[in-house]
This record gives sequence, C-alpha cells and structure tokens, in this order.
Amino acid sequence: MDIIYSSFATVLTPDVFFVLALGVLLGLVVGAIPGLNDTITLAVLVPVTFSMSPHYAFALLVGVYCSACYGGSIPAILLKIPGTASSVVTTMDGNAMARKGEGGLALGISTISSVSGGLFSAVVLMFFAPALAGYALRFGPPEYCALAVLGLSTVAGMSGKKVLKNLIVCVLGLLISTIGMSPQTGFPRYTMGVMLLYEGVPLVPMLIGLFGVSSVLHMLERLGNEREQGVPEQLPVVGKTLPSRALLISLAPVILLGSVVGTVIGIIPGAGMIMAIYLAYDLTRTRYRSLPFGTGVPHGVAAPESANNAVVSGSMVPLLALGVPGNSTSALFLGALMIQGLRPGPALFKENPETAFFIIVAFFVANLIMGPMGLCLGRMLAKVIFRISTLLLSGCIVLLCCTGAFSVGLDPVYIWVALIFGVIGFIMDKTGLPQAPLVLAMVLGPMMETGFEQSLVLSKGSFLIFFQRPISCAMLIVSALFCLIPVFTWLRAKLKTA
Amino acid sequence: MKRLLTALCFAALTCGSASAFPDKDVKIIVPFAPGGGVDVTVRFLSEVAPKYMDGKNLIVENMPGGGAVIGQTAGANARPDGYTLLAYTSSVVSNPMQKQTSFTYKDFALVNMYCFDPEVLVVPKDSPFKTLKDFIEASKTEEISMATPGHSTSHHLAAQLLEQHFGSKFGYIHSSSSAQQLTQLLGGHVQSSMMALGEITSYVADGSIRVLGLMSDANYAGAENYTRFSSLGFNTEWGAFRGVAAPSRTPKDVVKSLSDAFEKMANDPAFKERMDKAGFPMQVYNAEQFSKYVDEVAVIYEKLLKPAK
Repeated sequence: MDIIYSSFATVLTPDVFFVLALGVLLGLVVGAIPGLNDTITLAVLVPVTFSMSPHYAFALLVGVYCSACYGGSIPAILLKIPGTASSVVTTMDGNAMARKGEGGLALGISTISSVSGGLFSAVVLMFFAPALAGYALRFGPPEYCALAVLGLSTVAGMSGKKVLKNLIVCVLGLLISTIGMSPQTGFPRYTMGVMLLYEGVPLVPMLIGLFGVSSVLHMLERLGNEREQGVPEQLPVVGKTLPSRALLISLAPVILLGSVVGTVIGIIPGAGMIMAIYLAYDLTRTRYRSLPFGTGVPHGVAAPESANNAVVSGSMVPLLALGVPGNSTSALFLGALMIQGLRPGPALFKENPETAFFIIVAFFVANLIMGPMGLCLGRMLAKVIFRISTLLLSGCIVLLCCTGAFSVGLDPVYIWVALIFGVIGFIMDKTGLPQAPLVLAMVLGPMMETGFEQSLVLSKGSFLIFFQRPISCAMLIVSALFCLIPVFTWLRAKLKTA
Repeated sequence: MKRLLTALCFAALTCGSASAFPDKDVKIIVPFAPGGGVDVTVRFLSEVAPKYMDGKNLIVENMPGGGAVIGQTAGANARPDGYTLLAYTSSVVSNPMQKQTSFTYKDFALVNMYCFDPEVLVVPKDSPFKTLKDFIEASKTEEISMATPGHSTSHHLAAQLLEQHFGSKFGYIHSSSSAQQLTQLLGGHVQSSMMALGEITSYVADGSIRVLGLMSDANYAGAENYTRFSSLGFNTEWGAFRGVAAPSRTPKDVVKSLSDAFEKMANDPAFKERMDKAGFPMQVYNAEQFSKYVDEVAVIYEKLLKPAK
C-alpha cells in the first residue's frame, strides 16, 4: 500500500504531471486524427524516451496510450470516421446521435464511459495484476479458437433483420483474412506476388478506407445533390454535453458491463480491443432488446467506449506481471522498459516495484486528466467541423487518410489499399451491407485459424480438445447460445401470433 | 592543364575523404519497428558511437514492413559510401530464400557482429523431461509439441535441424510473435520451445521454465551450467545474430575503418553495461569472422528453406 501512495506522490509532482498531461493531450490529438493511432505514435516516441528519465518516459507513453483510443471516438461520433480501430463500433450509435443534434451528448457519454472504464481497469491492474496474469496464461490454442468463435457469433446477434447481409459480409471478411502467408505452413495464399500481401491485408489502411475515404465519397455525393437541388443540408447542432442524472443512472450498468468485458479481454494477450468493443456492444444489445440500437442510442456509445479504455490498462496486466505484451501497442512498452535498463519479466514487480507501480498509478491519473481535456477538445472540434464547408472538410479528410495510410508502412501501396477499401466501403453503404462484421471477421479470422490448427497439432487431430478444456467448452456453448438467440426470438414471435 | 588540375583536385578530395572517414553522420537502417531487440541494441551502439567515429553520430532510421524486406532492400540499394548501413540479422539471409527480393545476403559487405543470442531448448517447469538426453530420446519415439515464434524463423529452423540430426519428431505450434510463444510455454500448453537465451533469463531465474540445452559452445554470463548440444554430437552454433553491414560495393578501406570503429563500440564498457542490464548476450565478431559465420549459416538455411519454396 505504501508503494501506491509514494507512486501517487511521484506522479503528482508538477513536472511529471505536466509530462503526463502532455502525453494525454498528444494521445487525444493523434487518436482524433484518422490514420494516426497509439501504436504509430508510441513507435515514434519510444526512441525519443532514450534520453529521458524513467518517470518522464513512462508518463509520456502512458498518457498517449491511455487517451488515444478515447480520442478516436471524437471523429467517430462527429464524422462517422473512427479515429482509431477501437472506435469502430462507436460510429454506429455515436454518429446517429450527432445527426439527431445530440453530438455534444454523445461526446459527453463517451467521455464519462471512457474515464470510468479506464479507472476500473486501472484499479484492477493496481491490486490484482499478478493474480490475473496467471489466468491469462490459461489461454492456449483451443481457448483462442473458441474466443474467436465467440467474437464472430456476436455477428449473428447483431443482425436483427439483416441476418443474411451480415453473414455475407462476415464470410467476406474471413476470406480476406486468409490472404497472406499461412501461419502454420508458411505457404503464401492469394498474394499474387505482391510483397505487401505476404503479411495479409493491413488492417489500419483498410479501416481508413472503409470509413474515412468512403465518407468523403458520401460527402461529395451530397454536394452534387445540393448543387442540383440548391438546398443545402441542415447542419446538425452540437447540443448540450453532460447527460442528465436519470440517463447517467440508466447507463451505469452498461458502463460497468463494458468495463468488465474490456478488462477481461484486455488481460488475454492477443485478444485485442476490437474483440472487446464488439462483445460489449453485443452484450448490451442482448440486455436492452427493446432499444432501437443503431439509431442513436446512448447505450450504444457507452458500451464500446467503456470497453476500449478498459482494454488499455487490462493489456498492461500480462506485460507488467509476466513480460508478455497484451497487444502491439503495449509491446512497445517492452522496448521502453529495456531502454530504461529494466528487464521485462516476472521479476519486474519484485526487482523494480517502483517502476511497475509508477506505470500503474500513471494510468489511473491519466484517465482522470483525460476527461476534462477530452471534453474541451471534443466540443472545440465539433464546432469547427460543423462550421467549415463540406468541400474543405472532405479535402482535409482525404489528406489525413492518405498520410495516415502511408505512415502505417511508409509505402505508397498502403494508400492504394485505403482507396480500394474506400470504394468498397461506399458500395457497401449503397447496397446496405454493414461494415462492422467485415472488420470483426478480418481481425478474428487469423486468430481462429491459428488456434484451430494449433489445437489439432496438440491433440494429434482430435476435435475433442475443444470440448475437453473447460474454458474453451464454455465459450463455445455461449457462442452457440448467441447464434440461437435470433432463432428463439423468431420462435417466440411465431408462437405469440399463432 | 585545366583538366589535369580538376583531376588533381578531385583526387585530393576523394583521398582526403577516404582517410578521414567518417566526415559526416552515419545512418543505420533498422528494418524493424522501434522497441524490438534489434532496434534497442542498435540504439545502445549509437549512444557510444560518437566516441569512436570522430564525434560523428550514428543515426538510427527505422524502416519496418514487409517482414523487414523494405528496410533491407533500402540497405542493399543505398549508395555504397559507408554512410548508410543496415542492421544485419538472420532475416537478411532467409528473406531472399522465401520471398521475391531484389537482394541476397551476399549483396552486403559485413562490418561487425555485436550480439549473438544463442538458441536454447526450453520446457515448462513441470515438464517430465529433466535432461537434454531424455528429451531427444523421447522425441525419437513420440511427437513432441514445439512452440516457435513463426514459420521459417530461425527458431523453427533450429528445431528442424534437430529433426534432421537426431530423427526427432515435433508437432509445431507457430505463433506470430515471441510474446505469444512465451505465453504458450508459460501456460504449459506446449511441451517445449526453441527460444533465444536473452529472452528467457528472467523466466529461468523465476523458476517458471527450465533450459534443457544450449546450441553454442561459447561462454555466456549465467549460462555456465546449461548442457551444450555439442555433448550429444550436434555441433552447429545456432542463434540470433545482430550485426552491421554496408552495401557490397562499399570501398574496402571504408569497410575496414567502420569495422574497427564498431568493434571498439561493442567493447565499450558503457555499451556492455547497457546490453547486460537489458539481458542481451554479447559476442563480438570482426568483419572476417562475421562473414565466415554467415556463409556457414547460409548453407544450412539454403538446405532447410529451399524445399519449402
């Protein structure tokens, strides 16, 4: 306990606090810019920390990591362009709210949920990291396969009336995810000799295309229509920011659910943010079946936003307790630790508890700073975005999309990926195909494939391995239930009418 | 006369620059993202570099992507004047054998190796295998599961070498990173794993994994008691090497002065302390020793990777 107090004292010294706040601000900005994300920013910053003291170094990195995924929700709500992959789900209800003139409220809910989710997982990290890290290790190949199946099964629940379209898109995403080197045999699949495709279709440029570029195409279409008809579209208003007390109380269970889901998924190495936001959204949908999700329901913003910030500190659990990073962003912390002369591994908590707890406490404080800072930035951006002309805005977005896609791999080919998926995204919108299942399938496809093949190697070809292991078996049963929910509701409706 | 003068001037200039190498900062391309083992160790070098390069800096430039091919291609095509170097690792040898690249490992003049992370065979703490001999004998009769950080990585090839040499049988669990590989091992989901010594030190100290064998006969701090594979007649020195190389057409004297400079950097006490603290095993080879070693290793890579193509 003493060490937690003394860490708080260190974090709250003016200079360290200033660096942390700087990190948070930087994270918000890069998060809000489509194409820039926490991974890219940390990759740039880690070498810079070489000449810094450990306190400054980790304060800066923690600040950025903590606030980037929240910053991503700002353009997701205002423009329907997720600033980072972690706010893909927020676009659905968040942007619908903004279109109804509740943009400010959506930002407010996103802020409150993000801060709560972040604080929740930071507390978990503070007190239970070593114990929970052991739980993360129980995930072997069959569990990862089952987890991916569980993630994909949420598509069935998500669909409502559009089951078929959702499934088509989901399968399409799975097919795209098979492009690249087969993880278990090293055989290149559908690469057509293109260097880039050996590593598979890169996710970030794809997201930039699907959401960013396609939204520009929509804007241009609107502009064309306005010119023909001469009636400019009514600009939405930002509206008030803070939710009413009644709304807040009704959202509390959703935020708690999102935080728990995010923390749990965050702790499992490699499970990732996308998995967490979809699960949280889907669980919320199942609980509040009467609400019209997708048309601007506050619950649809609170669930994914609390989940994605909970993943952030959650992913630090295996990193600090075991030296195993939970995702590609927290992996950069490994490098930062090494640069500071610390050896990441199970001994970190024993040998350098000051550093370990400094990082944890920094996460806690960063979440607190993030709230007011994010609200200011969000409202400011909202006013600017809603004021400037569509033409100028779309130009800016194109520019950001291209530089963002390029910066992912420092290769112009990535811009092409973004442009191609921009057209695909536009066509999908026009034909009523949802983009969300595509992203989910692309992320979970490789996890499922690797887990499946590895499990069969372990079991020497027996499928029983998926059911003999309790965690994997439980997850498979839950996914079966998810898939059956639409069938049950249909049956119940049938029986009622009959 | 004028032409002669120009020629003389030019000769004087080139002469002057050759003797005073380096007369500007030297850039080193790291074909991986910042924060990884190669990046961090190169940055350790760059910290001490000015002392041995007439006060000129060693500037690290990260060029990740394409499984390191993008950065390696840039390194191969750089102007051969010694001012652009490449962080040279085993993937420079293996990439051209697996992918369509415009270079091979021979397109580089090797400068220096500063780090050699030898291959180790590790098992979870409660594994029934107590000695290397037990393990190898068992692997001849039954399939043992073996985790690697990816298909065709040097760790995968190390296991394949064992299969060839001892007739072992392994069921491979290829992860996409060494972090995932470690999780599989720590969680007891696999029976064994091929890893680098530097990656496992703290887990061995902690008692969560055990080392059965080391694929090198050299001495490493903390590895004195490990069984060497050579005790069973397996004599290949295998591991992850981290070195520095210039494009192949770089003038010999420039390569020589670079090689000398890097050797001194690698022996700098400040550098050694950094490497030791971060857990990277050291071994320094000069240009000739490094070239000889890479040539040997490349033959093995060729044999193992060619049929897979």
